[in-house]
Amino acid sequence: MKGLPADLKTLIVSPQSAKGWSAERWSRAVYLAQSGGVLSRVAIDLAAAGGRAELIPGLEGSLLSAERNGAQSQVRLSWEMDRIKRVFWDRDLKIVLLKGAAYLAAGIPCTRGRLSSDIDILVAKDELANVEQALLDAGWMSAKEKQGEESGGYDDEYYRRWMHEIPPLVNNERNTVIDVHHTILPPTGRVTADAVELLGQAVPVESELRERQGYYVLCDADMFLHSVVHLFQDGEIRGGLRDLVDQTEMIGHFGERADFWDRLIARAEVMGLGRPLFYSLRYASALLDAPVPDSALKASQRFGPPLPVRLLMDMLVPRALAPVYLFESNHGADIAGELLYIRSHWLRMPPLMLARHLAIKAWRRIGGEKTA
Amino acid sequence: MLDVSTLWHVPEPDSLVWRSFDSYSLLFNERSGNTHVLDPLSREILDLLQEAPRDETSLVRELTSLLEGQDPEALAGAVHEALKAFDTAGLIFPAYHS
Amino acid sequence: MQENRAQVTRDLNRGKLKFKVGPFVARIGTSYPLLQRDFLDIYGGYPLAGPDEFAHFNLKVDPVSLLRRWFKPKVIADGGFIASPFVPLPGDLSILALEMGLNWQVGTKSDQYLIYHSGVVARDTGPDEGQPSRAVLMAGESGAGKSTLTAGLAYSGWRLFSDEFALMDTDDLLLYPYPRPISLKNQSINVMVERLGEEVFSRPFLNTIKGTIRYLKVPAESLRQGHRPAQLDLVVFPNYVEGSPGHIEEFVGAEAFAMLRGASVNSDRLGRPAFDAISELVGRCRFYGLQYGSLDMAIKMVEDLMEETR
Repeated sequence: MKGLPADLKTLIVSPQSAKGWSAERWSRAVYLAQSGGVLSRVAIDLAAAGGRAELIPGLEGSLLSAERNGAQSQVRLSWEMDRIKRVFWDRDLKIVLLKGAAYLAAGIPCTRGRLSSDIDILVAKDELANVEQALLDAGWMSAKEKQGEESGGYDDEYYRRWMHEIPPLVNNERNTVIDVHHTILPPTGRVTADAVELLGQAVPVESELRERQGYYVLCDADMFLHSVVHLFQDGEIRGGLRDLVDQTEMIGHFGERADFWDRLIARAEVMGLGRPLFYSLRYASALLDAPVPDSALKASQRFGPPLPVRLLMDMLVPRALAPVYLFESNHGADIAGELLYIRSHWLRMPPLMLARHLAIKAWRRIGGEKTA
Repeated sequence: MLDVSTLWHVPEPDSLVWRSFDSYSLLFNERSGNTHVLDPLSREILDLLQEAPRDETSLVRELTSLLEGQDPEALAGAVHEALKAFDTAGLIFPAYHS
Repeated sequence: MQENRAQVTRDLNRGKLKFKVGPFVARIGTSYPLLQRDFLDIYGGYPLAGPDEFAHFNLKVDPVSLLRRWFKPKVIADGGFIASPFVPLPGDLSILALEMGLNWQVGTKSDQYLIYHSGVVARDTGPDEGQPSRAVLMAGESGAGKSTLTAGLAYSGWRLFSDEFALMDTDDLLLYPYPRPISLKNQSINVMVERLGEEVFSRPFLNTIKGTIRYLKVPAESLRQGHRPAQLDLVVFPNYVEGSPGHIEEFVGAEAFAMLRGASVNSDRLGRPAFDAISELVGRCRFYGLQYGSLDMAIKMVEDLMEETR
């Protein structure tokens, strides 16, 4: 299997050994880290390793810039948690933080230098309408309306009916986006996750910080599986290096806990997420040296695809995940990304619905309307 | 529900960084990353809330006795506006226990 | 880079051209001959960067497709971003794609500096590098005459630091030069060509979204001293009003803070360091609003105010 560019991997996995590099080499590696969305994290790790300012002239400026971006992103995310808490402060409502907000609240180390300030929450399905209304009353609005488009219509209905969230809302003043989910998988997918079970297993956040208290996060196995689903089933793999880094960190963080691996495998089985879990463990360990125990790798084998598919994925996934230097050719990555994109759509919807979805999009294009 | 008897407090006052210029105060909130400019009355209100949680009614009462000779109605209006602005900016939060 | 045009063109073709702009090194590639010529014309005086220098920014400007290289040419800048902010431009305006591409990268990825959207010029107090130069920062809304005043001062004995972005180190509060060609628009072009002569200008670029643009080249001395920082002493907000006899108004305290903060591009992204820097500057610098009726009047106002704040 083709790996990540060696210097990029070094920066992510063992930044302390990035010493004695030439300016040319640093220029390329920093570019790749920036493209892969991990430069802020790398900057923080290089500082922790010591001697960052002395590496080569001119480099420190770019690293400091990236470090400040990462810190700012975390401040914004944390503040958004405070503001959302203000909306629901007097209601008895179980809010489960997902993705970046959850990593921050639960203290998963992948939160350092993580750039997204968008926030994702999960609530019970019968609370969804109330939550949406409360946010709309408190200064959030439909993201599309904010961009000057009319809300409602086909895209809106598509979201509500087939996807696992209401259309994204944007805060009017801060421009931050919130996605409110009621499960972590689209109900139309061939595999579904039991939302009641997810909420039931969620654990309260333990923190000294006010803005984090009162929230919940998914239990460790579910938190990991959610990231896995997002990368290997739900979305595009292209540009997803950051997600694989998150998974690698979670493997290190949760992996020491008693029975984590048994619970993870069992949970993936129950939720029908074996296949994406297989991919995650396979590529996180192969590309980023994630410390997955042999027993877990072996146990996940039974979720693997037939050999030809596996060989194809082994070829496509590393190409789609690895950024390419601007001054080097990148045809392989484009084609790999394209093929994987088609695959993710196919997984997300039963074939007939996919046809309907594509047909409506195509129809709208003929009509000259904007596509979503 | 928020009314004149809602108790307000200033969460984590240590994260507020102050600078004073003439009669105005500049305030940087490290939790939000936002900068605010406060006139003397707003500054006084925030100082009082920082000292101990208070509701709107008692703020108006205290400030009326502090600023003798001010039109009480105008003062009540100013306090109400200031609380609204502080709440929107996230500088104050309803106190859970009254 | 002027001395070796053939080599520069080869390096542009291969995406290997590295040159210095103030504290930054930019690596550029383009295979489009017209852009190569315009680039050499405008950036010919800039120092090249050696192989042992780190490249802060990477940018490619190329035709959008093979076909559009020859027919109704269209080019686009590429900085390798997942969601690219760049739009295609007609081939004749390809230098604008490069300018915008570089500005966008500097404006969004240089948060090691507190950046102001403003012009800056400075006076050296002596040839000794140990003595800090003294700078004036010109901020305010676009169209108020910022660029014209910056250009006027840059060609009357001041060192050009920036027309677009002022870069400030948040530790020592020194400004660093970021000398870029000054883009002059429409009527201001004639005023400045009359004053400075044709040879310091690029060819005209017609039908841009802002009308006609010509780039005023950076004075050679400003490029030679491109590494020397300056201390900020004076902040002005110029405003051209036709027929004005001139009017100066001082800003202090919270008002000065608000105005300078309003001129900054990235104080929200920096947070505390920006707040500390700007409040420190309010106590240290003088702030004035300038209403002026002619370029010479404005230049005299700035020179007099600088004399007074000594």
